[in-house]
Amino acid sequence: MPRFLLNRFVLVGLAVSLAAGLFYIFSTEDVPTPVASTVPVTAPTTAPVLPEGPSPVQKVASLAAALETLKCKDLSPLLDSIDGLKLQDLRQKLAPLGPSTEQTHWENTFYTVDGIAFVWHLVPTESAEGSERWELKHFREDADGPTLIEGRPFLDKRAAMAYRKKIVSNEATMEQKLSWNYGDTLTVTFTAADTVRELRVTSPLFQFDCAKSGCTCEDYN
Amino acid sequence: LERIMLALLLFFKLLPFAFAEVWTPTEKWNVDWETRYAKWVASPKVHQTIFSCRGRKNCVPGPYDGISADCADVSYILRVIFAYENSLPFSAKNPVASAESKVQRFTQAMTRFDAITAGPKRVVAFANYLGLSLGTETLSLNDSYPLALNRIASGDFYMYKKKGGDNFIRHSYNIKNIDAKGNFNLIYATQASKAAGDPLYERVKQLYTPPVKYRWGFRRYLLPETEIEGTDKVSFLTTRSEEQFSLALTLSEEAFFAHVKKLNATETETTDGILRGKLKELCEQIKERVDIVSKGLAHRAATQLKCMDYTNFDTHSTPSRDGRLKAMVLSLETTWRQGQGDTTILPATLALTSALLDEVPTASSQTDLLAYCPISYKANSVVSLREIVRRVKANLLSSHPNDSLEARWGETSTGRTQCPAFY
Repeated sequence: MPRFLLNRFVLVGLAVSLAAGLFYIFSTEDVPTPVASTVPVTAPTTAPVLPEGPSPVQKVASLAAALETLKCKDLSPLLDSIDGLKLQDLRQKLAPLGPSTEQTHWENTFYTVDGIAFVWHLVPTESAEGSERWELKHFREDADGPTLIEGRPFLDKRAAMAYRKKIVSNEATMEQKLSWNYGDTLTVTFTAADTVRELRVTSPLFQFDCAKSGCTCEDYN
Repeated sequence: LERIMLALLLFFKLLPFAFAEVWTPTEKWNVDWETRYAKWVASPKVHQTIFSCRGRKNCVPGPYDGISADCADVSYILRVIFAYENSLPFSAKNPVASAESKVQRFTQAMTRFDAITAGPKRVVAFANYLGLSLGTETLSLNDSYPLALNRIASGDFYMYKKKGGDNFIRHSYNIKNIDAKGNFNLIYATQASKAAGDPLYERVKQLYTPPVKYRWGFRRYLLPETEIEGTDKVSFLTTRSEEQFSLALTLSEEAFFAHVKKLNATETETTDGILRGKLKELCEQIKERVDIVSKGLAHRAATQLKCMDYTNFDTHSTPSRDGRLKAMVLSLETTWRQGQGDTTILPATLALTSALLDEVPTASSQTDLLAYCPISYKANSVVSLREIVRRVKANLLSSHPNDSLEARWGETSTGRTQCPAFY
């Protein structure tokens, strides 16, 4: 049997199509079932299943990250607790630990309105001549991936951040969550007052979690 | 019977929707496929008009016409096309995903393109979608790894990030092939070419910005772990290296790239070959500037000489380009000085380089140089490469797009604008 016929999407599609056809044949009302309602909606299976914890390949792929030499003992004394810690304080605390602290590659500000997730994606882009510009892109998170709603270019990052703050502050009930890349992954959740509420650092060598109750750190090696 | 016929019709009508993915992979990436990918990028199948025929006579749009790509997009999209054509998976990390997001990676399994006919058109839509959120930062951070300098191959890319004023400048060049002398033939796009919908650039280029940070430099596309199997992991590990970053710290810019070139050469390049390569590139770059300046002047004329706003200034100004021109001239001079007395330099090369760089060149050599690289930036006028090089060295070229044609080419100091320069 040709290999593509074994594809699960094909099989699901065939099954649903056949079911729709049979339903139509044996239905008593002579009203065709709307095609749109019978179109098989295949749930996206886009995210590859990754093993728990970093695998050797992931570690190697990430070794270049600035966090590669850090271990729990480096971070724990600095961040016993994040209670009351401001975002700026956090940056200062992390600054001596790695060369990439100052490299904020992009920032995502996530929020949810009526159950729909949105993200403001602030990213540096190149201009025609090679100078740096910033773009603030607004995505809606749909089941089949992010959808760009709008993109706004800015001459500098500060202007883009000011705009974002203005827009974001209009969403009174919104919980702000800022992520940016520090080495491999650094996720910081903070309150509207910029107070850090949750901090998670995933590096090839350790997993560091910090919340109001305190911080935990697990060395992988 | 009518109902059965209708049911069958419905069945076949719905069949295409069963193929929800952009394409369905049946193969898996491995070392063999990586080698085939490298060969494909080096082949004529990857060419300047693969995404656009704009401005090219007799160009027939191919199946991927309509893809809009800047520098990093090209690196992603070449992988997409090869994967599609060979039934391989494609995967890139979604940079706008939160920890809770369902779509953590962009893959060929995405279903949002169902409404588009399966095949190249759907691939074009997928490629353009990727460009909305992927770029140099994501490619260098998430989707590539640094290469051992002796393992560079077609399909790999060179990325840099350097400080330019208060900001950073980033770029990505795709390596189409490497010649026997270790020269890189690059295929790439820019923000400007993307905005204009132009074809890709392809040329042999000298690289100038060594990687000072671990995330940049010579890199290869990173396959998700799930796609690397068995012994291929070993291959992955042996191609990965951070040597380039420590080397870049200890070597000068020129020495770093000379080292990379030597590592990737199968034949030793003579001083003659190096000089010829640098002369050729200098000539090409100046001719390219003719086109860029001309487009800026056309815009200036169309807007009745109004001062350009930031966006137009950014599109038509040339400070980085002019800086690179000067670096090329200095690099050529260095090779020329170091090659004095080198018997491998052929008489023709000797004559051209002397005509360009000697303090007192002969009249006949000037004629040869003019024939070798005539520069014509205005109608009915041809300027010698030597004269342009003199102006470059004396910093006479103007990068401001509101300046007159003569001022931009350093022919005169008059005609300079009072309009603001944004950087």
